[in-house]
Amino acid sequence: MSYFNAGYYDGESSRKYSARIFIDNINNGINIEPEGARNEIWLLHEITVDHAGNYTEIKHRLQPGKSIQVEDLEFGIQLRKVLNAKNYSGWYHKLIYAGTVVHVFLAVSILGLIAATYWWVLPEVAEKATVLLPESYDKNIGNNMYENVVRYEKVNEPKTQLISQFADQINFNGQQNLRFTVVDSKEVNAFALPDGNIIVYSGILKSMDNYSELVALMSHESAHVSNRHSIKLLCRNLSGYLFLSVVMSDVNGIMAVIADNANTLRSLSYSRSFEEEADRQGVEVMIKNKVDPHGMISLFEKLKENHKESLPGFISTHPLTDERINYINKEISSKSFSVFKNEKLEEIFNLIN
Amino acid sequence: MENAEPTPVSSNNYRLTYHGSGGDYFGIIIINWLLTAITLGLYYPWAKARKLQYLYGVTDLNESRFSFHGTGAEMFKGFIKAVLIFVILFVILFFFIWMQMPIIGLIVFYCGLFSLFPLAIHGSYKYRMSRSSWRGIRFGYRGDRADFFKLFFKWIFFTIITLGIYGAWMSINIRNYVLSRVRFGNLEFRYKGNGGDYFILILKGYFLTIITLGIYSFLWYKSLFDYYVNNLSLYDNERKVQFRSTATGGQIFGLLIANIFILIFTLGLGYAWVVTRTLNYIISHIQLNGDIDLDQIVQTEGNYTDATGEDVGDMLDFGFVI
Repeated sequence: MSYFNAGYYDGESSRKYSARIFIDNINNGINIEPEGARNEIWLLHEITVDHAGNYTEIKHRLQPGKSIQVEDLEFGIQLRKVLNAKNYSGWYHKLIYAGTVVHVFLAVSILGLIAATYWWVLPEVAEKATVLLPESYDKNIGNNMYENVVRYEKVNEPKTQLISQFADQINFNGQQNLRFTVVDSKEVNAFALPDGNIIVYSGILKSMDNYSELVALMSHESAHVSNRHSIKLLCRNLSGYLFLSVVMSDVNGIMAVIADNANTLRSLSYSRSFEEEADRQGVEVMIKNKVDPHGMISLFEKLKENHKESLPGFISTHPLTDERINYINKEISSKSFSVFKNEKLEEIFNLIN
Repeated sequence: MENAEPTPVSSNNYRLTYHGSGGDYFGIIIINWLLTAITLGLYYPWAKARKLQYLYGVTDLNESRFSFHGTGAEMFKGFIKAVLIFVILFVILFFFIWMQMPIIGLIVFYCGLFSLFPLAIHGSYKYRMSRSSWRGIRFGYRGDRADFFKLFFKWIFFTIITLGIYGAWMSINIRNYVLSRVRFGNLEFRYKGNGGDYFILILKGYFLTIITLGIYSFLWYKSLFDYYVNNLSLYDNERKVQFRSTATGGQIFGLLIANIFILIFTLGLGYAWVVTRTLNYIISHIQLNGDIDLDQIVQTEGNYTDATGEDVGDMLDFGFVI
């Protein structure tokens, strides 16, 4: 049996009593012999023990205010051993006393687990969530967005009518709810809303040389709609954000910021993979309608001239144009197809353009 | 002192020391993180109790450690109440929006939110102090909730009509009120700040930091730290202990720069060491001088168990100094 030096406090005044204490295995307690106060035995099941480094504080549950403080690592270790043997010690202390190496290992595993969940599990979950969301949800969001666009942009009514007639000539894989709107703007751009509304800027129409380019644009955007890309993106971004803020925000600000940026980068890569999917399906639609799929390539060459892209592919939402032209070329050469000149489409295209 | 005291205590007798180690604190943070993540946040109050228990336990005044004896279970009750309060506020807000009265909803919501501030400050001080002790002597907070509530809204009102200028006075008024009502056994804390001084401190710090392209900011931190510490004292009737800062701008510069590098190069995992370095610096740069005998403090405070304020405070995200 070994004695340790401790400070004993009676809970009535701040007077420090020097005490000798030892772990009393016979009585299952801690024997305390304070100088100038009565000896006490604190039973092991009546105490709470806190550690901080080599320091141990023991409090008596039934006599609040009383405490013993011991600054001796050896005492802490012995007490833990006894408490463990008698099962008075919880799993928490076992974890805390596992040592820094184990803690670093834990930290790295948690990070790994978080990353794995984020990378492989979440996209699946988000995909499932998209399926669960009713189509009416896409409609509501799309409608709201459409109202906003129409409020701030000038709709070109005659061209909108023409482009609708143009679209009527094409079979977009059976997709019915597409509605095209032409907006007057110099911008060379177009985008699809989740409800099937597709906004086309007059700038991109002006830059086109033949109708196959317009078919390419429309097929590409229609693929976004039929695959519910915008809702999928929303679900993925949101689930990623929620997940990371639950598991990271508690640690500290820096890690929360890192996680947040990782999520943004991930979202960019999502949208690039969606663009690629839309490009490939767009080519299919063109072939099905017997329109020359090379129109997709010349469309992107025009986009390239207009957007002198300076951002590397890594942080851009769309795949780099060269990269895009490359894989579309491969896609086209892997397919056999026949092209017919469509007089009707050409006629309407000339009116729009 | 004019009267000859029976047992004059030399001012060299007070020593504040921080014994924490980054490695130990890292373990606590990591295990807290693990448990909080797998319980989807429900472990939070227990994590907080573990953290406070450690930080108190490694802080030492005259060879005796401080002690935090709040429990996760107590704070969990507070946590649930805090969540409920926020849920109710949002329900009210959405009810009014649903009734097509969004403006009234927002007014009610913000009034509710603002009235949470004084309640959270009061509640968290009351709980935190009642769960803090040194040598078995409990701290306590004797502020009056209704009183503080009224004062708080008076100060908010002045702050609004002065377009924020009164904010400096407000934050010092809060410190004066709250800290001067903290008891440590039979000892009483006093904080004697002055809104005007504080305002000038902020104004000067702000402009000099801009003019010197940020270099002055370290001296600014020092002067704010000095202002917090040097106005604090502890009374036992005629006897007194005065707190004094010995921090210097250069040291704070070194501390913060190193902290930033640690955080960046460990991608945030070195946070435990940053906290340890910072607390070590702060605690070893507070000097106590006076003539109170710290061996003769008498227990005066009772027990108090409501931890709601503590968690409302966390959700509103303000950190407390003491």
